[in-house]
Amino acid sequence: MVKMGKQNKIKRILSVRGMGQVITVTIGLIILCIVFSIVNPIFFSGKNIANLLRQIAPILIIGIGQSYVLITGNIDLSIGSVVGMSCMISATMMTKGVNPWAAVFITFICCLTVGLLNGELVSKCKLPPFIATLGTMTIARGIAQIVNNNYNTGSIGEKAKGFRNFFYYGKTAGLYNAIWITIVMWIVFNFLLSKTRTGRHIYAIGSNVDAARLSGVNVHSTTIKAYMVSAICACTVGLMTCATTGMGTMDAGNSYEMYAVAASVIGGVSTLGGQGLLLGTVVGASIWGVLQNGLQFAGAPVAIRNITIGIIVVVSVLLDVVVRTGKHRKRKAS
Amino acid sequence: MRKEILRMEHVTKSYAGVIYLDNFNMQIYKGEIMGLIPINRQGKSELIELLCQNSPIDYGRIYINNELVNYYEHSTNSINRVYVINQKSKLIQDLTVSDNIFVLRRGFKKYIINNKVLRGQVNKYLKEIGIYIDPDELIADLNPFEQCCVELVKAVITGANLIIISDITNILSVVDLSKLYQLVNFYADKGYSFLFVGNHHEEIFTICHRVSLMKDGTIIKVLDEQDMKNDLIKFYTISFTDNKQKIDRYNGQGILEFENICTGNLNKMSFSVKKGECVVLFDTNNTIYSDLLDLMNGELSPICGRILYNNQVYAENAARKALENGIAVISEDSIQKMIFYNLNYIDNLCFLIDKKIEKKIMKRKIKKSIIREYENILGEEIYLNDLSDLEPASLYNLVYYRLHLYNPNIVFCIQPFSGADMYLRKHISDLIYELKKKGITIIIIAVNISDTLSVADRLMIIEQGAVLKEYPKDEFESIHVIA
Repeated sequence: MVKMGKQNKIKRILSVRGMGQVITVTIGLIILCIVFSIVNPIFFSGKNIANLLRQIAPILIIGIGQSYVLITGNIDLSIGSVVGMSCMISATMMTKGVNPWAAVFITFICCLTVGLLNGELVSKCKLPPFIATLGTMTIARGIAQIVNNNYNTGSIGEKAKGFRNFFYYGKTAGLYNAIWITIVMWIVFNFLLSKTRTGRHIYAIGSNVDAARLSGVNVHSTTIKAYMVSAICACTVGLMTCATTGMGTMDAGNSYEMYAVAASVIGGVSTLGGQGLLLGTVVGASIWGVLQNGLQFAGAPVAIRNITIGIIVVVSVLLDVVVRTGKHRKRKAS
Repeated sequence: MRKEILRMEHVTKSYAGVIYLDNFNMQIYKGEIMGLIPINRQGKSELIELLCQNSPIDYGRIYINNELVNYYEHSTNSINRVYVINQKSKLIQDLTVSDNIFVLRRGFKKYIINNKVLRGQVNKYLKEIGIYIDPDELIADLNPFEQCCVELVKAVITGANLIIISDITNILSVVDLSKLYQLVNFYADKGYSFLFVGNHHEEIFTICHRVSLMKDGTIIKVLDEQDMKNDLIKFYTISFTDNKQKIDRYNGQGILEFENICTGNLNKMSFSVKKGECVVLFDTNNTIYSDLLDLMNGELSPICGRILYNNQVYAENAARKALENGIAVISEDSIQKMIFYNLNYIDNLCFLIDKKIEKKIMKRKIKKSIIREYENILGEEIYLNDLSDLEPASLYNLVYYRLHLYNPNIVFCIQPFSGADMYLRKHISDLIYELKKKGITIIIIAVNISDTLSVADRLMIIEQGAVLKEYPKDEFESIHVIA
């Protein structure tokens, strides 16, 4: 009986839409890890793995934010600029003597405002998400530049040591705090997406917005929620960047929107909306991190790394298309 | 005395100068299945919208459960507990059955979802109606009948005062339709009220306790159970009898022949269609149409058997250029799917003709000559730039005359009468006749045959992917397929 129950549970997990692609990319990740560890055995050393996890952490966090937005059938191009804005606002305030935690709070408010604005522009003003977030991307980058008069900030100083330890350098139970923050955020947002009413509404509007509206889903507030999650994630990554460098840099988060899309798409989140699992985003971000790290160890130049990641993104989207039309092809093969 | 669920008294609703509902009266009682046959489409969607939401009306009163919910002096725009099941499913395809039934509904209070509890609840409701659907199954993986069942259960769970079932006979096979009728009767016996909206009186009569006929937004007749006879309704309908001039057909070999074709949904299907003939493939299980079209478009290769087109094997390469080879398709809901609303009328009409002209740019004089030829048939509309204000009949003209101009050998028509009111169905029937007159072979794929017989020369009943029986035109009278 128990065995039957377990089998059913496994069957149920495997039947979750998108799980197939998660399993496929996980196999890909394992193969990559094996290949890189053969090329350079240091790849699997404890130190490198800790490093790798810290490299993956910010990509995974923004990947979570982007996945939320992609599942609603939209996109958030402002995510990278919000990282930069968060980094610059918090660093500027800290250099001006503001209490680091007060600076963190204010930074969150500012980033959430951008999230709110994105949500309003997309759901209320009906702007195409690509255009709306392209606009806020430029605005947020502009704010990042203007807060310290077009200069990077100086060091955030000793006063912010607690802040730096909390967001990056400190360790809890042997793991860096950045990794813990990522784990906690993943657990919270995964729970929200998979176990709550809001999560179902997010999938619903991505799948069929009209049907969702007729089923009583508040499309406006759900879209805003998704963009708010994206803003929270971007803000956290911005604070992490600030804690890492100990200063505010204007170009922080540059191209992160692309990394976020890559992590989500590689992990099986559909760019058409309605489908995707945050478990996939973990694998997607890990593939990105492993490729960056592994190719670096293999001595590949930056250009080769970028080309490889680009190819993997295209292949992942292709895989999504193949899976979506899988039934048709299967029928043809039979 | 039976409890009244809905009462509409002298309801008049107009918009932008058009009267959609005109002194409309209707009563539906608890546990009653009321039928509504719109003879023309005027007021049909407005009525459904008005039953769902109390939008402003010009005159009259609407009572639901004996409570005045809408009257001409004050409309609240509030939403009524009315659930509409129609061709276009309102279910979210990427979510599971249990999510769709319980989570995606107004008034679902719980924030954290317990899948186990939901699963149990769904199983309880589905067991009650004798249907087995896995609560964790995605809606996208269900067939149209199962999706209808899920919607029905959802309607019951949301506590709908009235369940409107509109035009679903086009998506369900005859077998599934009779199963659905059983479910509707089951819930009606339990006290749920239904409004069954459909264009075919044969189907409506089978299930309903009373039937209202609506024309120009007014109820013109209410038929009780004893009045539901074909003879009585003849007075209110228009004749589809094919009394047009007989077309001389080419009596050579078949232009299209299927020889023991097997695919996922076709089971050794064999048939032959002659040039200029109009054949109806009546698909009782609603399964063959996608396979058939994929075969013709080269998207699917048969597992066994072969297709002969013009006495030559119809290979995959030829199929990929189906249109160039003279095989065209008119899809279901063609005025939505086959018209380019951003192009003007003449560009829409000439859209296919460039495949016959070798030059990339069509000369003005060719267009002018087409306009001259078709102006007499299509009228001044041919000069229109904006198609958004065109009547459905004119849009159907555009779809069918585009092929009339292109002149393919065979046209596959998928459910050509789907969703059309009586006048429009007559018009479509005339358009099909025009294609026939030009010698084009027509193959109609339908899941109900009510109107298709008016244009058909031959009917084939398809069951489980194979031709079960064939009827020539003179035997049409003897067909009884609708339960």
